[in-house]
Amino acid sequence: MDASVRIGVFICDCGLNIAGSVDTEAVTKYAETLPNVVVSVRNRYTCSDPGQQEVKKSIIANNVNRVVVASCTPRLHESTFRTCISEAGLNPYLLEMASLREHCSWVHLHDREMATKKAKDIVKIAVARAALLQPQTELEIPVTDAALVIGGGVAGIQAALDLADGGHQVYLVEEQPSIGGVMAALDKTFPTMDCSICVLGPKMMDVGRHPRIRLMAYSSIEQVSGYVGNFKVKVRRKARYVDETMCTACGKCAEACPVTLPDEFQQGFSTRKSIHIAFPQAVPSAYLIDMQHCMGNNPVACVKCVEACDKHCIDLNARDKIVELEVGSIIVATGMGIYDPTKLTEYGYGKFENVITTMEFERLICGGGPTEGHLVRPSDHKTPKRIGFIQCVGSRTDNRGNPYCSNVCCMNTVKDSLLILEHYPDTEIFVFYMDMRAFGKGFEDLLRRSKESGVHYVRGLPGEITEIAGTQNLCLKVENTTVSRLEEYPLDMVVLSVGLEPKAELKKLANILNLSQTSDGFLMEAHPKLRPVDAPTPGIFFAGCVEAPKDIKDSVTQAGAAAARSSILLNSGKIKNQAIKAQVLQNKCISCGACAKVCPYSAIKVDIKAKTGAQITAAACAGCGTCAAECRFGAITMQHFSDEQIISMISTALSEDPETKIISFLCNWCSYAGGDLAGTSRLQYPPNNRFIRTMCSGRVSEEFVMYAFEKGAPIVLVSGCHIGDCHYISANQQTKKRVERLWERMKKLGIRPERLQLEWISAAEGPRFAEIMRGLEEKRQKVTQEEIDYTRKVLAEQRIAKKASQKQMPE
Amino acid sequence: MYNLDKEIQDTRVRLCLDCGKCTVVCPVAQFDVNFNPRLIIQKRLNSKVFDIKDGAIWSCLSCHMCFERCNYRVKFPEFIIALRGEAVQEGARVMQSHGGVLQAAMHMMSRQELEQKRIDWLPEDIVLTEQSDTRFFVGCAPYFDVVFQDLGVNTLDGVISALRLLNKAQIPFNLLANERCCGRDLLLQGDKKGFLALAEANLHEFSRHGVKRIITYCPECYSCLKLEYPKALGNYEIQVVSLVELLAPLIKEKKIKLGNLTCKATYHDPCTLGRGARLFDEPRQILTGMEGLKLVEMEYNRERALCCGASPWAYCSAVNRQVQGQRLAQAKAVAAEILVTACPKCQIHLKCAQKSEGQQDGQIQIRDLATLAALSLKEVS
Repeated sequence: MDASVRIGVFICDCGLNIAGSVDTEAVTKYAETLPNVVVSVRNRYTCSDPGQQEVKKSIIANNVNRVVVASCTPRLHESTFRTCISEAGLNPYLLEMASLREHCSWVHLHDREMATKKAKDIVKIAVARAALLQPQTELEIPVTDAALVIGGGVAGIQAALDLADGGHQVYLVEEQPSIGGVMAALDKTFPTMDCSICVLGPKMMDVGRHPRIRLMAYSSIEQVSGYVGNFKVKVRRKARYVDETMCTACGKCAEACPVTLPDEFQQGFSTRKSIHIAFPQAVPSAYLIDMQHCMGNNPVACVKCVEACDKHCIDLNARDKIVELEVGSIIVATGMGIYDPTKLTEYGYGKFENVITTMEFERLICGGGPTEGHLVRPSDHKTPKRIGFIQCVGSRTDNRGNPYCSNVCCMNTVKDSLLILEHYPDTEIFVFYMDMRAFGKGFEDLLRRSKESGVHYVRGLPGEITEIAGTQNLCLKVENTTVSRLEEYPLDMVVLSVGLEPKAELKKLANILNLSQTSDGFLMEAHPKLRPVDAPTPGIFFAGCVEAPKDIKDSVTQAGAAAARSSILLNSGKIKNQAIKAQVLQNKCISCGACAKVCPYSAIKVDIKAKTGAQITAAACAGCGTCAAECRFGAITMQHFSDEQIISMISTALSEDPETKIISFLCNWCSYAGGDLAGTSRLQYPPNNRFIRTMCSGRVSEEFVMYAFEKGAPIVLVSGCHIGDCHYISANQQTKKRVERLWERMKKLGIRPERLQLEWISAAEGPRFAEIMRGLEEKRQKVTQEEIDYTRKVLAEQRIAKKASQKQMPE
Repeated sequence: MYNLDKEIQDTRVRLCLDCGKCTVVCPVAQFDVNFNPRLIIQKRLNSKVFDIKDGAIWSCLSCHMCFERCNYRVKFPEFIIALRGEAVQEGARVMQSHGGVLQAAMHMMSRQELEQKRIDWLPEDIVLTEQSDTRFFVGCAPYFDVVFQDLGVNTLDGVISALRLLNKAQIPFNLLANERCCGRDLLLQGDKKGFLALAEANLHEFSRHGVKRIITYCPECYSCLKLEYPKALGNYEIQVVSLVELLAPLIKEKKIKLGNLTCKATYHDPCTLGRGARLFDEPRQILTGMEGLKLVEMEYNRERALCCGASPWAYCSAVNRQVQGQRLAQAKAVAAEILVTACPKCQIHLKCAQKSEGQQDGQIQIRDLATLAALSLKEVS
């Protein structure tokens, strides 16, 4: 016992969240008995102001120099308490948090005795680590004062303007030839019935001429490297074949062009030429050539546009260009995809001409649309007198579509109904729905207006649409559930209110940026309530539908939030990097290069020939610990997640009744977070698990696992992010290899390899985490005492034999 | 017997969105204003007006069209069966069609110590492989032909044709001399006790003879043996395959060649084989394996196929007749000469409907798939 270490333990009741299922008084008394603990205090709400005051007072009064806060998950309040103890004069890294809530009280609600026993163990393990904590200094790194906004829809536009107006340089990358996104294609917006492009247009112009916004339209993100404050981005500027800066959008080229194609902006209802402008209000206001359908290519068969252009700004030999940018923060605002209802054969979309989607309807009724706003139906261009809207197409379903509610479709239909009546007051409109969701400001009002105007709201989703040969009118069959009757509605046109979904290409961008997607496919935020626009990766933010379906108001709100949070980063000029870094112990390094091979950030350089020792670039080191786990010579130590600390946690966990305990290594970003979610969801599982959190599963060395078995663990779990989703890019590939090597070693030693489990658990997989915990307990019960005794004997013998040439293990 | 709380959980009825899509596609609801699948769920779960003696619960055809379209895949047919079981427990009397003769036969067959002579119909040229651990499960075809003699059904012909095809494909099998009814009909009418008795008796036969694999032609037996038996009996390791699953790949890969059959035919997907087992392509591959056969599709086919209106020999009314009439009209609309089906019950019910329409010229021929395939073989050899 090191007399210079004085640990203060603070046990939190968290109201009844912890105290309801754990005897926190008993835990507090128990903590007093642990080595190096000089004071143990119980608090009702430790994170509250009075709670934090008490912590600080206690630190000062008892000369505490290491702090254990046993409360909720460190992923929630670690920074809160680090700030708290630093206000009491302690280095913030002298804090260890023990999760008594998400990983104990909430998941063992009905077994107070076992939950309390586990809580005591958790505190004991935390105290053991705390004794070995060292003060750390955080590296300050400069922040590039520039932001990248990916996506030029209304969210991206708003974020870019907010940041640029705030004095920051912004790069706005948009993959379409013009910014504007889906909003530019809408006619009117709810609930105000504003003209969409009229309100968006001025913002688009502002972006186009803002001195601090460099707009790169018709461009895509190729590669992103670096870290918060220091991202390096490669952008591919696709060839337009027209010089953007010189084109006056006069349109003579398009007149001359002989190639006619369906116009995507007008949903295919009218045509455009191969050389075209996306839409009249496009920003940048320049034409471009759809080279796939151009006849001017190899061999040169047509140069009509070149000849027609007065400004000579068409270059058929243009090439894509790669541009490299340096930015401090990134905002992802790439927007949404739209559900394609072709699979719903019962509605006949794609077969029956007069069944259209809401986006197609927008173009038909829009003044800038293919019919200049005269609402006509596709088959015969007659004005439909009876129109039906079907809600929830592709939403709220497991059966061909997406399970979630798409947020905007109800109000969009309400708006559409009023639009139609504005122009054609004699139209009979039927809305077929399950629920009308009018939750926002002004929404219910708009719904009332629609009802008062005579729009029929029929509660029931149609089961089938048939087409009448000849007239191409439609017959819609529905159960009117309010009166429990099957009804048939003859209609001239049917509009399918299709849902929103993530863009198909989102996965590619998510991989480039190392972002996780939720089960719905949208991007996952750091915390759904408290950090709704932050990505889990520092320095990256979200705005708009890329995060979840939402309307324009919410997209704009989020964009402002993302810009503000990005500003915080950019304004600071420098940021402190978390002091979890790898450090080489040069006296032990033999320059083998194994560490450099596994570093996902290429932050280690080793000259194998010169044998000058491994050199780590601290600013680039993300702290995953894979190098430390890979080094077989004990030459790399992790500041703040050292081998000694982890070994101490393992041996403390297994000091009593080891055969009853399962040791689980959980990675901070995914599996530990999955455990947190299981806790917040109050999913129950047996209390035999003892968790050891590392930043990355790559930190878990073979030695840790064997040590756990040597100390009597019946089952060990190694878990991390799903392959491909590792927070540290690819570190979990090393984890996989290591575990596979361990299984071979175990087989050779006569230890059942099933006793070492490997699971990839994402932060969104709460139920799966609980299921795995239950499975582990089942497996543990099948491990015999003989197996454990044999394992301990064999491993102890092995270690003694190898002690000379391997890492020194503290007992 | 019926744990309704568990059934509610297993069938996911609490997830019902109350949208009514099921009612629109339900063949019974089309013709019977008192039958409304959505309303039955709502009444039973969320209101005070449900009466377990409500006759509506007996009208369901278990055609699974509701399940096919439901947003949350609510297992409505299974829920109805649970309600039927509850009704029987509460003392409801189940109407039995055809004088209850089929149920009588089923109950007789459920006695463990029964010894039957049930394969006397087997023609001499069919080759049985005594040592095979594969058995062909015949089903109730022999009984059907007796009970429905007046309809001119020959479901046994379908079985014999199936055996001939298996011989031709050189797939070895044996028969079970003491086979019992699979019990699906009893399960569907809420007689779980009766079903279990048959299942246990069959399992006894299977174990006794070391049966490892079962081939069957009747889709209802297939569904029952493959899905219901493991659920009900627990320790059940027998592989169950449908005849069409076995034959279709062989025909597609030209390993066996069918003969000629020049005609315009349309195929009626039996509910249990199509929507139930997702075997839509296999029967069609067998049909198009016959030269000269032109296959046309009815308006409601594959996943959207219209039920033949069969019931588990329980409730049978004018509504069933109307559903059958609609199916026959759809076949007529595509001007097919032959309506092919691969299920004995479909055969019986559609022929019964035809009979009630009266003998007319231009009435479509209703033929069995295996029978046609085997017939075409005769042309070749």
